[in-house]
Amino acid sequence: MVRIDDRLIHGQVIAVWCKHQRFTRIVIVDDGVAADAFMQEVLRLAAPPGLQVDVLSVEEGISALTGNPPNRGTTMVLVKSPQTAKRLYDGGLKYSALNIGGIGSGPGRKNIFKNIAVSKEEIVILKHLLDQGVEITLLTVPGEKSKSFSDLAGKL
Amino acid sequence: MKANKRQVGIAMGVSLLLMVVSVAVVKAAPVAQEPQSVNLVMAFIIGVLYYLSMSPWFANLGFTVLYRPLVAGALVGIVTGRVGEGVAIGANINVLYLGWISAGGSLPGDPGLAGYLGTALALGGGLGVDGALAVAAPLGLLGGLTWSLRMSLCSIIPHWADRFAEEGDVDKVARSNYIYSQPFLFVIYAIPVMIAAYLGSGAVAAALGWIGANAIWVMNGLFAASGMLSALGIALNLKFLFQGNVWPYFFVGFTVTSMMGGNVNLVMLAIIGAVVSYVHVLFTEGLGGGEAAEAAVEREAPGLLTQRDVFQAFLRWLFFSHSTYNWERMQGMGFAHSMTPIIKKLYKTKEDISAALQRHLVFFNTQPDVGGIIHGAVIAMEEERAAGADISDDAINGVKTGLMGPMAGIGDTLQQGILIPIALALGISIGLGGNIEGATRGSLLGPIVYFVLMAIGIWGGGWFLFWQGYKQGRAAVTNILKSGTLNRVITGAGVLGNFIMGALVVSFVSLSTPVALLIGGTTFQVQEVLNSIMPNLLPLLLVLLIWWLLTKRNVSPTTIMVVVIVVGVLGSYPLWPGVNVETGEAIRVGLFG
Repeated sequence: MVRIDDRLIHGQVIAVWCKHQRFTRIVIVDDGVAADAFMQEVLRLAAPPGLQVDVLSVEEGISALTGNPPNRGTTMVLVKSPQTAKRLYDGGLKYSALNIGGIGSGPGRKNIFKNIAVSKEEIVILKHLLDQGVEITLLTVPGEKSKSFSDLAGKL
Repeated sequence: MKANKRQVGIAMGVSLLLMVVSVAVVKAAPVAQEPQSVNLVMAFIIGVLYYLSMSPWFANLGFTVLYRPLVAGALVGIVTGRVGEGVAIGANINVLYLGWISAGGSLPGDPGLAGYLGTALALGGGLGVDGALAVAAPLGLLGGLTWSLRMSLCSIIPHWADRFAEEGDVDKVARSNYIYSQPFLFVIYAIPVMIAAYLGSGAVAAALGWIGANAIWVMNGLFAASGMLSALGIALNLKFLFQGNVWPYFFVGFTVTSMMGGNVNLVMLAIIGAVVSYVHVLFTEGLGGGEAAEAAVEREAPGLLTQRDVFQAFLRWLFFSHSTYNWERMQGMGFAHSMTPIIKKLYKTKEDISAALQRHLVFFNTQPDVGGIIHGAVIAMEEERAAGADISDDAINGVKTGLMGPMAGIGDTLQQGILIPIALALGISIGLGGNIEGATRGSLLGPIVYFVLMAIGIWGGGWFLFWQGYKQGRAAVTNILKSGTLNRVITGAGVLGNFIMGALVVSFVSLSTPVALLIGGTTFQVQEVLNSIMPNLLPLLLVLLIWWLLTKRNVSPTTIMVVVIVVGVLGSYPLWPGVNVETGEAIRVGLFG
């Protein structure tokens, strides 16, 4: 599973998704975090027993995930932004489904669903992924209301 | 912004409509022949209590304590003058919500609504303890409606706060967090519950009267469904606990309790569980100091702030973190509000104050108690910056956005996944006086014990982490995590949690069958055969079945709830072969006893 969530690992991911899908490995792909030793340590230490957390830069992520594809059922690939998701896709990680869990609001960003806000640039990126046949779902946690990006795309 | 304006319009319209409808409905309601067991004043207080449980006025004990059905039932009992029954009903409803987790702004069902309205209807309608859960459970599903409205509407308030921040007005920013949202929340929470409690209890009483006269088996069905719904609550919690290498303790708890005939004091069981848990942790993880044996290094504070200032910030966070919770910024306003005493003290010019306010009004979301360590660290950075250190906005933002996720992951797992269920299980058990199954009157001691446990954890633990964050800066996070204490607590609590859930299967899930077969003049009671294999076999199998459906087949809790209620009620139709115990003649019985 590939998920966009600008908070990366948090309660929804650890307490709900990982229990629901039995994820045993989370691969965080983010250039910023990959260059931040303190944050990497926090993310690894914060993972509960039995959950492996890897932090990779986008380049490392592409080679690691395409060269040695992880088990789709037990691995969650976590990125902060649609930009990174697109770089992974263009780099060769051809995922068929993309989950958007949360992107915080800010200047120039528009709330499109619950706690998910996107910029104009990101809308273009998501539409591009949609055109490639990626099924994009806006869903915080399993069991909550979800929305398909293709239903929203026409209005954006 | 367009969407926001529309939402405000809709919300205001709905609020006004509710007001008008409530007045009209209450005026037009037929005067009951018998004295109302829930009169208008009581209904109003119950509505207010429900609002308070979602309000910021109780130092974070609203959502964690008042919102729980155990406490809600007790309070409704006090309001209606039937404390014992209120506690017992609330405790029974609460079993369904033992595994309830609201993470990151999601609200799967509403225990508060089930607790306040469910208890009011069960008490007012004369449903009693045994059938309350079957009525309360569907009510809990309705809460999601108001939640969505609240999260959308409150998204408008941060934009007002942005303006006040530009003006550099600290007090107005603080006020916009704790005042503006509350009248609206009061209306959407208190009014509907007031109306439903007032009119609903009469409706429930009428419906039960009809059932009693025409289809008594439906009554048995409600009892059966209630007993089985407890299994769903336990299974939801097991989704969390029943894994790793700690799941076998579930069966230890189950068998120990079952051997004692189910009539056991859960506090004593919890002591056994705690000892077992200690031994397990000792052998699997050791009790040593982990990686960070060296003492945590305290940073050198520039001395611009006193402990009192930090405590002021802590108090504001403790009370008002979720006061204006909304989709757009989540706890962003709560964060800015908690920083106001610090900003006032550190910055003197309008430009500096305005910049600091704007810096902290951005999106923020974490678990409030564990996440307080971030506030501490940010206060430390602000202090050093004010003292002249070169700390950029980006550095401060980086700490906030980087840490809020991991701290929420730890906090939600620890608090909602493990500590609240264990504390609730103890409170429920004490409230029902150990003799859990069939207890129709409970004791206030249960909710009080739960309240005290939560207050110690949230106030004590919360301040400890907040203060450590300030003393050590962001290194506090790695220092605390490295010691390995957290993993030991999670593992140990997992053992204890499994043990207690096993015990609760015996105490709370009631499922038995009166079906009997007459074969060649000899009666075979199915239940006796099952008991000879193992007592409480059916409750155990039911819990495991629901756990399996939830985790392996991804069936939603709502679907299971509906199926359980339907099967419980319809299965109670007297269609099955049974034997009259006294006369020995063959009769028709329901599936569940």
